[in-house]
Amino acid sequence: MDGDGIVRDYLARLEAAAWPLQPGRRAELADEVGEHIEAALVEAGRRDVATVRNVLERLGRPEEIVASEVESDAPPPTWSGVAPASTPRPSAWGPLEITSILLLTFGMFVVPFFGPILGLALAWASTRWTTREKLVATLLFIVIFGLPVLGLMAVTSGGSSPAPG
Amino acid sequence: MDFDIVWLLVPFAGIIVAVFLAVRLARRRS
Repeated sequence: MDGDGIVRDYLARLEAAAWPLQPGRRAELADEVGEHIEAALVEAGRRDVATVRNVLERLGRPEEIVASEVESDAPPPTWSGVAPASTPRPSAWGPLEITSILLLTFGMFVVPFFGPILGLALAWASTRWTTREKLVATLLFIVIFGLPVLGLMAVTSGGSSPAPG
Repeated sequence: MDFDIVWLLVPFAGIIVAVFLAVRLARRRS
């Protein structure tokens, strides 16, 4: 099989693996990958079997390309290895998150006793933490703060009861 | 009951929770 045959075989495998994608996206992906291979071969200046195999190896297996395409919501394919410039990732830290963390750590000195609780409330108001993370954070707070206090209360009330005999 | 422990436990719990939340957020970004 010559270099072009290997490329055709690769693209056929890609199309076969791309069944989870929409038909339009499937054709688009095959075109894009085909163009990418062509550009890489032009850049290499050779189309022999070794060069073609090298280019395809760098691209990855067709199944991997499709898998990353299925996972990604971004319209440009992830196999290119270049993040789209038009969709910058929003920062994970907003004013609400920063205030929440600051209140949780130093809140005790700003609003005695209620500062960290206010910080926890702000964390619940934020959308950047998942509900699960907020629940874990709340449970953590209750366990670290609540249990020793309850234990202390139990010990104190137990100690104040009159001794039998 | 010795209420001093409450004043110690609230910031301690707050710091632990803050570290947990900060780490989760930082990991998601990377």
